[in-house]
Amino acid sequence: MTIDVVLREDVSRRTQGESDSVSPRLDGQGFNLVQHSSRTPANRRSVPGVLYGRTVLPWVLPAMAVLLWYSVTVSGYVSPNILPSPLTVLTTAQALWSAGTLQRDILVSLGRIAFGFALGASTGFVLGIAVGISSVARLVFDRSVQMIRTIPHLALVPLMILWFGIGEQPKVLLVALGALFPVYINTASGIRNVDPKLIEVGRAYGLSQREIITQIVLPAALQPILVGVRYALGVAWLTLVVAETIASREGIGYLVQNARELLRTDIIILAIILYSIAGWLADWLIRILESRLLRWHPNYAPGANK
Amino acid sequence: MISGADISIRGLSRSYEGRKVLQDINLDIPAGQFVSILGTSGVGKSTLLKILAGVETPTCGDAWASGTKTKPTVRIMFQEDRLLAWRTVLGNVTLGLRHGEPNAMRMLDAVGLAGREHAFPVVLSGGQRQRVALARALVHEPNVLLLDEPFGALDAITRSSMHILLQGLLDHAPRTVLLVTHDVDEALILSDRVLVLTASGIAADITVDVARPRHHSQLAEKKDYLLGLLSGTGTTAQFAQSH
Ligand SMILES: Nc1ncnc2c1ncn2[C@@H]1O[C@H](COP(=O)(O)OP(=O)(O)OP(=O)(O)O)[C@@H](O)[C@H]1O
Ligand SMILES: [Mg+2]
Repeated sequence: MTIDVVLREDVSRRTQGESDSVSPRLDGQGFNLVQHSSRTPANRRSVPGVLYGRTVLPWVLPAMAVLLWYSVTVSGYVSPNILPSPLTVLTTAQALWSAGTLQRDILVSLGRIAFGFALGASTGFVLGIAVGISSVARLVFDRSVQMIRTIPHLALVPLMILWFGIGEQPKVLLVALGALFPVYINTASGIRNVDPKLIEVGRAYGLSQREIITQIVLPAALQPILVGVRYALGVAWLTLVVAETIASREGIGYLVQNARELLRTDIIILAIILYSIAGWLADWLIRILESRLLRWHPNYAPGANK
Repeated sequence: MISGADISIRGLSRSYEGRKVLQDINLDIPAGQFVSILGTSGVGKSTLLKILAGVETPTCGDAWASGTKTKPTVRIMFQEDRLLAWRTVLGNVTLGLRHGEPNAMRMLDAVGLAGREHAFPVVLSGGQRQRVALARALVHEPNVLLLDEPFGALDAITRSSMHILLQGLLDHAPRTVLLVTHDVDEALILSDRVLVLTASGIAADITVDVARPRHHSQLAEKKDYLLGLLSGTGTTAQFAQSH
């Protein structure tokens, strides 16, 4: 969007150009420079038009897809056993909801993802910090972690089922394992790539080792860490779907497994839609987190095209 | 009343991968003196300041500050502003300060950035960023203040108002200052003593005993001498004769 970029640059130039001429003035306690600043009104684009475009445009393609889906099924072009119409899926959702199973399955799946993700991401984060800041920890852990990483963790599903049965542990553990590595790698490399000049500032300004880590190293590495978190969430969902589909007694994956046996295409499609809504919500959460934590960053500032 | 600290440098050398940058520097700076350091690019001026700030270690020799009751505070304003992008202007100035928010606000006011304390560094101009970095160093009221080309990105008018500000602050609370600059006029207007650093060591060490406020005409001879040294054409002999 070239136009957007040009307009944004224009705005920032205006803000920087605010007159900031300083003139010395002598007052009681020594010198004081008084600033005469005249604020220029911010240069705004026509806000309603932009808002309209921002909120409407992203929905055009999904709406067209649903419309296509509907017309294909209604016209009888495709058999309802292969592809049920959107309305059928909606009715199925209502039925499952009033039976109380849909809520329960969604909650169970959400619980697994929350638990597994929290476990894996926090382990990856702590391990990543250790490896990023200490060369000893790096020597001890990095090789092993990188080796474990090369194992496709979904290959562990049969082993996990043998070890833990089809209870909660194997699913939570698999999700954790999937979430661990992206967070670990991005945290460790993000920390190692922090500009040493900024760490020098911390040392020159009397910060303790701990303050240097919390006030300089972590904030400086935050952007790559959040990229890792975002990626980890994607991997976590994928892991959950596979794990639940193979071995489960409840959860959305179980819903799918069951539906396949009963040849209920509508339920399978419903589950797919649920998964995608959940993934989209998770992504949205991360975006909010990013725009809050990285609001100082030119690429994440409010209103930036991201 | 904040006082300065004495600085002593003995046999100081620093090399990078076998390439000598600073070679056998010996220097004593008494408390409260304002010293400017001139020298061509790459001669090791920033390296010297970083060693004094304790963020760089000498290959051999030693440099230390002493003469205050407690351990002297040394603060450096780096050549690049090195602002922390994720902290606001105020957050940058309060870096490492324990309870200094009012002081930080007063310092920001003094460098002409009142009203911008909640801005993030990315929206500031080069000169504004430099002034934030200056405030960040000054707010600690250090015994030794190390300034590495602090006014490089400023226009002439802002620059001379910064000179007035700095002198005002130093009159108010004297301390030892080392200023690295490429501007011979700036060095002569501000300092008690001017050093010229070359690859073989300190090539000139002159005292500027002209009363303040100074005028350029009073400094013309010293300026010619220093410019001569810096350009390598050398008018050392003439200067030595006339003094
Ligand atoms: N960390 C480093 N590793 C290798 N070489 C370095 C390092 N820091 C400085 N140097 C070298 O030391 C020399 C002196 O650098 P320094 O920054 O002190 O110069 P300077 O006198 O401040 O120059 P300028 O006026 O351009 O700022 C340069 O040749 C530089 O390449
Ligand atoms: Mg330098």
